[in-house]
Parts: sequence; C-alpha cells; structure tokens
Amino acid sequence: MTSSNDFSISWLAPIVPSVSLAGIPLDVSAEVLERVLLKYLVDASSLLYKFENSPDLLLRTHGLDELGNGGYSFSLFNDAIINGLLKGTPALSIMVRVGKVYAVKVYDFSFSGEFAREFVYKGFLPAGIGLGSLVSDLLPFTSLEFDSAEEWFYTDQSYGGLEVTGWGVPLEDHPDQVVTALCVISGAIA
Amino acid sequence: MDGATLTPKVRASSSGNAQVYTVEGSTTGIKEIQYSPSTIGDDVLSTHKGEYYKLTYADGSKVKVVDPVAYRPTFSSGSPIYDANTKYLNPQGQKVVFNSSTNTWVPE
Repeated sequence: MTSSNDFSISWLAPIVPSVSLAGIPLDVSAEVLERVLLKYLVDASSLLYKFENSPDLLLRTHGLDELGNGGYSFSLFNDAIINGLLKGTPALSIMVRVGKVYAVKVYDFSFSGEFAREFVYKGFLPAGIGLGSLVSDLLPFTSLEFDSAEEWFYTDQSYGGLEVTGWGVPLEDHPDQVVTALCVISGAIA
Repeated sequence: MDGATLTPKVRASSSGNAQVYTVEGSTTGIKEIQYSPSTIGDDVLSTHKGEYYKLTYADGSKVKVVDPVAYRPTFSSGSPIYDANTKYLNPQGQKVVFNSSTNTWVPE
C-alpha cells in the first residue's frame, strides 16, 4: 500500500528516480516514516528489523537534530558473512532533511559471487538495472555526469533524481565498473 | 594560502558531503581543494567512509591525503581501485598504498 501516510518497505520494490526506493517515498514526513518503520521492528532490544523480502537488518544509526535533519542506516544483521574489505558498508540508508525524507540509498556489501550477494537490495530500475549491473547500462537512458568530488554519477534531469556510484572513478577510466550503490533523491542537479 | 582566492563550489542537489573550493591565484599550482569529512557513524556513508583531503593541480595531477585506517578504497573483485594520476599520502606526508591483508594504508 502506498500513500502519504502509509506505505510498505520491500527489498524487491522498484527503484523510481525522484520518487521512491525500497517503497520509501521521498518527501514523506519523518513522523510517518518512523511509524511505518515500527511495523518492521522484530526485536527492539537488538534493533532488528525485517522489511518485506529483506534479510534481517540492524538499525545501526538513527537520529534527528532539532531542525529535523538526520536519518537511518541499516546494515546486514549477520555481518559475519560480509567480506572483511567491505565491513561497515550499510544495506540501506535514509536521509531526512527538515523533517522529510530527502534521499534513500542502497549499497552492495558484497563482491561478485559471494554468498552475501544474496542479501543486497534486489529492486531494479525500469530497464532492469540495479546493484551489480554495469554502470554503463544506464547510458541508453540517460547521460551520466561524473562528480569527481563525491565520485558519484548523476543522471540527467529528464531521467529524474538518481545518483549512482561504481568504483568511484570516471567511466573512461573503468568502463567495466559495476553499480555499487544507488540513491534516489528529490529532483535533479541544477 | 599564498594569497590565493578560494571560492566554494556548491551543488544544488546531492546526497554527498564533500566541501570543494576553486583556487585562483595560487603560486603552488593547486586549482582545487576538497575536504571530505569522515562519515563513519553517520546515517549515510560517503564512498570512502573516512576523512580525506584532495588537492587538484593545474596539470591535472592530484594528491589525496587520507586517514590510513578509516579511508576506504573502492574495489574491483577485491582489488583496490586507485584514482588515475593521483598520489596517496598519509597525514605525515608519506606515500601510501592500500594493503588488503591489513586492511589499511601503509607507507610504500
């Protein structure tokens, strides 16, 4: 169910630029988000959450300052299966600014072929592109502006608010890089 | 900084946290300075998680001064990816490379 007051969070929900990721709509209020998240709280003492079709997740950080800025970060609960080089990589982050959801990010915390790959976010863009796809798979649908400071790619305005990162380097340097994180964000870069 | 003028570069919309300044009039050849704070413990992690500075020179070369423990490289199938034309230094100014066994940056 999706409305401004209630929605479902799913590990299979599509990635919709400028609109939603994991079923979490942008611009929804922090109060509504908090209430919806409570539906998925499995064990308050261990901060264990489970969304639809998701693995068990640990709420690693959460906070909002007096201006309503902050967010949530969820990691794989059983992080023993994560490669040591990727330890600390979250599964899902939600950015809140001025009391509303500003951006939602998902991350790949695995290398290709590892068991942990089974547990990364499994939603896709309309073209079937998601975590682990080639970054260049996006090029038939949008230009990709590389931000050398953030080391992310920005899609064009007509495609919608989507930021993608691969290996943190330009496509010219590594055309074969894969998507290691995705972020749905309000609007597009001006 | 040697009488240079620094102008902040601002993006209208980004989920990132880098602070970037364009440098004009520097005698050192630096044309851009970036500071990326640590995001460890934050709700949203940056690409490299840990703190670093990046200096970009007029000839296109770059220097990254990284936290040798917290700054994480990106990886291709477990091998670290280094930025092209970039020298990595620790805060002591030593040239460093990533050691996958110790999971840290170590002097060359």
